[in-house]
Amino acid sequence: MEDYQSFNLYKFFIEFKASFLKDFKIYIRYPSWFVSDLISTPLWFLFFLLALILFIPEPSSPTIYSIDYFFWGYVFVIFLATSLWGIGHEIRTEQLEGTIEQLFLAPVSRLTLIIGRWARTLIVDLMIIFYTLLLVKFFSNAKFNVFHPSLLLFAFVLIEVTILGLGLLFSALALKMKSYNSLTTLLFITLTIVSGVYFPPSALPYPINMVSYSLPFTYLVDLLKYSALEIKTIIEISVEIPLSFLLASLTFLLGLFSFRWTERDLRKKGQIGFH
Amino acid sequence: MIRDLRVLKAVMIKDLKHYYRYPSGTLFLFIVPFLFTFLLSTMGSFVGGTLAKEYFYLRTGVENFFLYQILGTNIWIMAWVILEDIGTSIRNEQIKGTLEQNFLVPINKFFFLLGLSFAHTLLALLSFIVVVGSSLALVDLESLPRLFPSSLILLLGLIPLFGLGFVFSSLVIHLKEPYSFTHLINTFFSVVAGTYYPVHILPYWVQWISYSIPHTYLIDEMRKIIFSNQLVVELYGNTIILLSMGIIYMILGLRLFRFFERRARINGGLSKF
Repeated sequence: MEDYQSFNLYKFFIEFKASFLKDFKIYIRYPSWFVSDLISTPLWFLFFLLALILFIPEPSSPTIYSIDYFFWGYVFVIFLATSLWGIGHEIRTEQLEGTIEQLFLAPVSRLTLIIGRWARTLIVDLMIIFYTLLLVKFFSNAKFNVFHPSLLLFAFVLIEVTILGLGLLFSALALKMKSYNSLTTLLFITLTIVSGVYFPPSALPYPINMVSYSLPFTYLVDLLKYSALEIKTIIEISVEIPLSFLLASLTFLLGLFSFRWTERDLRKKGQIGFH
Repeated sequence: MIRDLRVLKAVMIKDLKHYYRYPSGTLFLFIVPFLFTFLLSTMGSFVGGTLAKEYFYLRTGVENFFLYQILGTNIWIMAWVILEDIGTSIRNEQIKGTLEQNFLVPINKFFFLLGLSFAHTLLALLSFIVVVGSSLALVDLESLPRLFPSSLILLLGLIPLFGLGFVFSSLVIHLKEPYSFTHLINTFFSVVAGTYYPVHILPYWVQWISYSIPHTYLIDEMRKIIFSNQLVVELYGNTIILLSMGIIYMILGLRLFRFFERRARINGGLSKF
């Protein structure tokens, strides 16, 4: 009998395709999701920018923080939200709808199921980011010049690996926790604060900045901003690149192992569909 | 009458039990305002540098931007949770398969919705007292007694918010997918209601929209009471508008709910999603 956990490239593609199509079909069944994302994503960006206007002498005044600076931070926030709700929360939805047992009884890799879902969210995220960029460029004087395009691409890949790892970690949490939504919202805002998304970690008071320096996201956001805007990095760029790679890989592995462990634990207890 | 009160009590207790079973949902209302305020305050301090506080005062007339933002955040989160919870309650019952059972019970559905609101009123009031009260106690103790009149305004402002929640709830029966809809509308309301800024900084045509939703009046009236030490009687204009909105949105919400419910009963759409 074939082990469903064993890796086979052909099997992987078949499962990936099925998982991707299933998720894509659900997504297009509710077009309001896309419309909502398309409108609310730039609105959230505007919401924060309007709040900041009160802190500068004139809305057009030059500050050390440009719209570009906030935009690249916001790009990370979009990916982070996807990881928590687009990937992690979907497990919870399957629990509520009572389909998780059927899915987990199928002789397919759980990882492929999640990667299929992640692929769909990545496509939608990229479309929305590009659309928001065009919109912000149209309504502002933001230049959006990219200083190191290849490094930006590398930073994106590392962020996606981390996001997938975090998504797996949160899928595991969603299986365990009863109040997934509220706790992830709390964590989402906390991560937005401590990861130096909208300001450098040095801006945070001690000891919060110490938490910031110990998180992988801080370096990934920093790398993303450096590649786009060439701002000063937290540590030497020659060190930050391999460190980001290492942290992204570790986050992915941590997510993978925690998901496998949680699934095995809940199978023993018969609590896979418990909510 | 006694039967209706029993329905109200039963729905309210059911809802409160739900909050008790999922305590992090309740915790959310008490922690998130502080987190958002911290995020915005840090962002603002960096954008404005050493003069951030002065610029903020020039724009708003308020010296303490922490208090200004925590008040806005508290009302915003509260309104968001109310609209989302009531708006998606029907969908949640659909997913769990309990909607038909609830709708088969020989009770007036108006009291079913109203029961949901009562549980939220208790939580909203508690969150306001804890979040804004503790902030005032820590930062501006002199303003603490103003918590009482502002709580009264909050109770008044909750009525149109529940009315809007009922409108959302009715549309959910029709649209089937409430989460994206409530998220979109809630985000839009956050931007136009002046959560973190006075609405006069928005373009003129947007202000028209701002003044058609209760959030704007609620936040504005709270700020006037707490920061300008105005009395509730002095703010009778805003109070009358909030009261009128309460009546209009409640009637609209209930009418729409009855209309879509009747239609869904005829075409069997109550359990479809």
